Amino acid sequence: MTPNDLDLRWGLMVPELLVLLAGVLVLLVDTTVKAPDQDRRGIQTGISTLACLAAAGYTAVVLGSTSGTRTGFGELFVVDGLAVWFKSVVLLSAALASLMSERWLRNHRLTSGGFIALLLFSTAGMLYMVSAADLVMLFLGLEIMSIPLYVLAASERRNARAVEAGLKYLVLGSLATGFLLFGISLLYGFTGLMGQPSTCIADVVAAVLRSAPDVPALAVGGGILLFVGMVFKVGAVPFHMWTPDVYEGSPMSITAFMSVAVKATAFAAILRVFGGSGVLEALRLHDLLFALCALTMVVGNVAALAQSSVKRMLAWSSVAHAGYILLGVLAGTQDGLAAVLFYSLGYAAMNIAAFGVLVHLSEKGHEVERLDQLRGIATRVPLQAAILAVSMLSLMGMPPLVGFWGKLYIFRAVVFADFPGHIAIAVLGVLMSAVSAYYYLRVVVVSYMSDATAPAPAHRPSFGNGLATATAAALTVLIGLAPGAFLALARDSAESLRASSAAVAPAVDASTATAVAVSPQPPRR
Amino acid sequence: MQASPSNLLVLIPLLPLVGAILNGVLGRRFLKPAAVHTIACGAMAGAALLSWAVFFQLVGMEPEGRALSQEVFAWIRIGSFHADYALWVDPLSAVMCLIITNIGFLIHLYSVGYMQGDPSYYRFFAYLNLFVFAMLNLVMGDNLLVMFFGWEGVGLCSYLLIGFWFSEEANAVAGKKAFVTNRVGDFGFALGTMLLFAALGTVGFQEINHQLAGAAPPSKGLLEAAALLLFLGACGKSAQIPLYVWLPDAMAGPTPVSALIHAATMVTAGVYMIARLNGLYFHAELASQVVLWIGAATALFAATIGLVQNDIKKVLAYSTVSQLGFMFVAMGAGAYATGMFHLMTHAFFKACLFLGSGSVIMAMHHEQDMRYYGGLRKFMPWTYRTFLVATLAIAGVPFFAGFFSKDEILLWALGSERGHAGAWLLASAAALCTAFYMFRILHMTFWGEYRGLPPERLHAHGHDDHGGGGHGGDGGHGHGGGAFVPKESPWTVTVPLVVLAALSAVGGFLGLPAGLLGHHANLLEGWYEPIFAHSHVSLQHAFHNPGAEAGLMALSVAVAAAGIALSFYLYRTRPALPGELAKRFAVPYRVLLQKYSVDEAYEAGIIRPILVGSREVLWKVVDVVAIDGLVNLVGGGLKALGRGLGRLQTGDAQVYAMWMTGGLTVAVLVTIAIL
Repeated sequence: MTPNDLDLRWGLMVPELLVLLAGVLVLLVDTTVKAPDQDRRGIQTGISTLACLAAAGYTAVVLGSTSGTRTGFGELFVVDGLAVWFKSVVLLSAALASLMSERWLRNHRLTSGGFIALLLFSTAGMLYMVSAADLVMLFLGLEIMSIPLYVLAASERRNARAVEAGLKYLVLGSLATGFLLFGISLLYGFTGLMGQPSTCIADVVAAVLRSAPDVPALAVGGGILLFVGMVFKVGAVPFHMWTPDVYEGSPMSITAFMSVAVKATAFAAILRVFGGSGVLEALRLHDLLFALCALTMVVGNVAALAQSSVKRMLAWSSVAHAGYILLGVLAGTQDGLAAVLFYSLGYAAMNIAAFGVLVHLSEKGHEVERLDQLRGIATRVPLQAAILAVSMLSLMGMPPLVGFWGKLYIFRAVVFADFPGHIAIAVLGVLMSAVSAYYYLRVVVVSYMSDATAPAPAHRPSFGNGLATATAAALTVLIGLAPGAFLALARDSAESLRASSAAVAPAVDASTATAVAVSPQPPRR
Repeated sequence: MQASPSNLLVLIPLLPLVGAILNGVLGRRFLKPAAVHTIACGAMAGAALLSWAVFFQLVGMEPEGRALSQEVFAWIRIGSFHADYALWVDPLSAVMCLIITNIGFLIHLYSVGYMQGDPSYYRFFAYLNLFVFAMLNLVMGDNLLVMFFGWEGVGLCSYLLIGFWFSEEANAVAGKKAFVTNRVGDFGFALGTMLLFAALGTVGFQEINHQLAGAAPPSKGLLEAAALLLFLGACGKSAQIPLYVWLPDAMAGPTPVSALIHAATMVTAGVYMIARLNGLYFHAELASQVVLWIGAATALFAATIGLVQNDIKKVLAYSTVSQLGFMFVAMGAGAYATGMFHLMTHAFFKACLFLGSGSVIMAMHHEQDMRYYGGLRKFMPWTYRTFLVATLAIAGVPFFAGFFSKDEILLWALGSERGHAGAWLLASAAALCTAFYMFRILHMTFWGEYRGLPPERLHAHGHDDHGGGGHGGDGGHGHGGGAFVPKESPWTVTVPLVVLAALSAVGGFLGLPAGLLGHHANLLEGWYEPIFAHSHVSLQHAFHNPGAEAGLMALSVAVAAAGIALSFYLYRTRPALPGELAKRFAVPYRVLLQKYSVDEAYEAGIIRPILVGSREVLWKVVDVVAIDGLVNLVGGGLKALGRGLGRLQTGDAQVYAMWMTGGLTVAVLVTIAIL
């Protein structure tokens, strides 16, 4: 392969490079800048936030301005509407998580270089995963994303629970990665059987569709393994068991980041491989996904009912929301896919707002976890209490906040989709959403309707965290007020999925084992 | 109609919103009163100038394409349901924008003097700006949903401003009453919107009117129902029978609020809504009849109550209810342009009257009982002159604004294809009462001898006056017991009065009677032509000649003259007679004074039964036994299930791994097995 074939279009990779560069810079600050820890933390979180915002801006403005699919780097790397949308979500979450981290680092007197750099490297991995056009690339992105997170989960080294969280995440994550890798190798073998061994996602999809309706067990098994490896990151039942423990043991800002960005990335990958092209049906994964959705919504919501720790409740709630979002994938229609995109963004906003308030209320050795620690915060910190209430109401699905529209779009897409049991599962989703009102409203009730028991902890509020919380809360409200505009954007972004699967279709009809084009690019390899 | 895009439109509502946010957030701690009113009035001035700019842009366009639109952002798009946040300005909404922003600006200016020294100065201006924002949304919205947003927004602001001095319980109660009564109407509005969507598949005004232009629509029953429900909303907002009861109580708010919200703008929302949906009401003939009769009945009913009230603001409040009835008569008779004409002239003279009464009330140390007034003419010359002009306008004295608009309404009430002699009779009687009670105010307030406040009332008002502390005064009017002399208000008060009085005097020339002077004399009708072109209701054949119109005009002048003459006879020639009459006709007098005891009837017939039923049945039986029982059962079960699931969460990584592998194995086996 000559360098020309590699097709190095660096312009497409600017966000990834920016984030990686920022990571290196942050590490350099630790060794070169002679300043008190306090200032260094400020500089490092500042670099990280600005880099993420700049990357998000580049993604949204420069990459998002031209529609259509662009590939590069030997057809490993793709930038399309889907990638632009999810990269923006991930980068926004990363920027807000960096802002939130400053306070936690200060409370625990940790130097921030490693922490922030790992956060950025993980973000870079997410960006690569979102843009992966090839299963190997997807695997690499997944690992670059996950390995820093294993370390970050255990940041609080002297706390047994944190170390336990990190270790559990590592062990179970590795198991899931094993599934994923095994699945990829099976699919590689399958494409080989079909005459053209390839790990390119478009080739795999085309091969599967070509062999439909009698897809060999080799492909089905590979598909299931790949799928399971991905839904592990989403936290779908029964691959969710790590979530509560890991979310509880990790620093609050990392929990927020994981619950939002990792999920968004995993959904992007799921959509990229399984979305909109009929692969899900061809591989007979549809019934499996149906079962996963039902289980995830029920278990997530019901388990959240019984929690007395807010952090753990939010962990279970993130499982429940994963269930709702998976419903959109299950619907598979254009509306469903657009709803997945919309929900990912909305969930990021409202969940980060909720965690931001918890970070604000926490102090070293006094982390807000139990529900009764929120008693009477409405009188103590009215603004934060209001933001917490808004985020809870939004998570619950109260109009006109973003959570309501997300759920409406998802459930509507399922109702109008066409597969057996679609009404039943939509009804189940709505019922479970009603169940969730209990545990979300309990937070509001406790913070507004009971008297404070503990005296207000005296601490300096963190500017960064305040900014992050306010931004997330503002998004929760604003997207809720103008949902149509964002949905239209999500719909356009999801269009690229359709376009690429449409490009696959003629090749299927031709039933030749030659080039299958994902893009207007000439055939490769 | 095809509209030209314009990016200016959104700025018109945005400026007051920014003003409201600035004053609301920063006003308490950071802004001095001067900064507060500079922001608020500045925002209004900006909005007013922009409205003029938009208006002149419209004037410069071809009549057929006279509309500007702006799609601000995509709001709700679900399947075939589209409701964007889009603004639309055509001749109809342009006039409303001008009324709202310009009269609004004058009233903001007036408030600078009126609210001086109030401890919640910033809050007042924040609410007032917020109100204007909501009202502009109501009139500029391109679909029923944006209108509904404004509709609810003005209701909220009205509630906040009626109860502005909430430390006094009566004010808070009045605010609540307004809010709850409007809820009933808003419920109808929401249902009507849904029905309309069900019938026509859209909530956009242009699409609705476009679909209904031309042939009769298929689902006529649905449309009638939708029109009736929407009119229920209008009854709430525009204070018509049976939902008018809140408006007289709403006078508990500061007087500028009464002028802006409860006279000039918000209460006309129902009239505007019907004009906006003229295509619907044109086809909904039954609903139009209801509108006509409710309007006529309200006009007379409220006017009779106004005859005997002693509180100056109460008289004006009932007068507003009555005048709104006139507008609905026009709407019901299919004379949409005429109704809008009266809406405009009414905004001029009623705002002037309310602001004038506010000026008097300020001078009289917040005494609102006219029996303590008298002879104020010599103390407050400007207030008197402007009040006089506005009174002449509302009474229907020839060539003042109200004369033309009211006359045209009476013509249509009788002569329209949808008109009825009965409705005309009711409205004419109401016009007689109007002339009488308005001149009664002049007699009791400005003419005759100054009666003055007895010291105990003076004292009482000095302290518990709205609980707001020393507001409204520049310290000039005699605190401390001694005889005080009422004095004229500052220029911020009198300048708006003069402007409004001038408009009340000449505003009618925009709508000169077309029947007498030819079609081109009526500028307003030509202006509204493209809007109402497809909803044309004609006059009956007999009324097509100028003679009929001139005859009716002479008749209504005679009616006004009779009312005025009667007031002179009773209050000038035989000043003792009103008291004697009240004694001789004690029962009817009592009935009128008690406002027909409608409040009491509602209390006994509606509110009590609902309260008792809710408490004894819905709460103690349905809620406690049925709902709570069911909820606790389900909740308890789910919670137990949740604890069970939590027990699976052992914390043991091996167990977790086992679940994962187990899940995977089951998935693979089942999927392969069903292959």
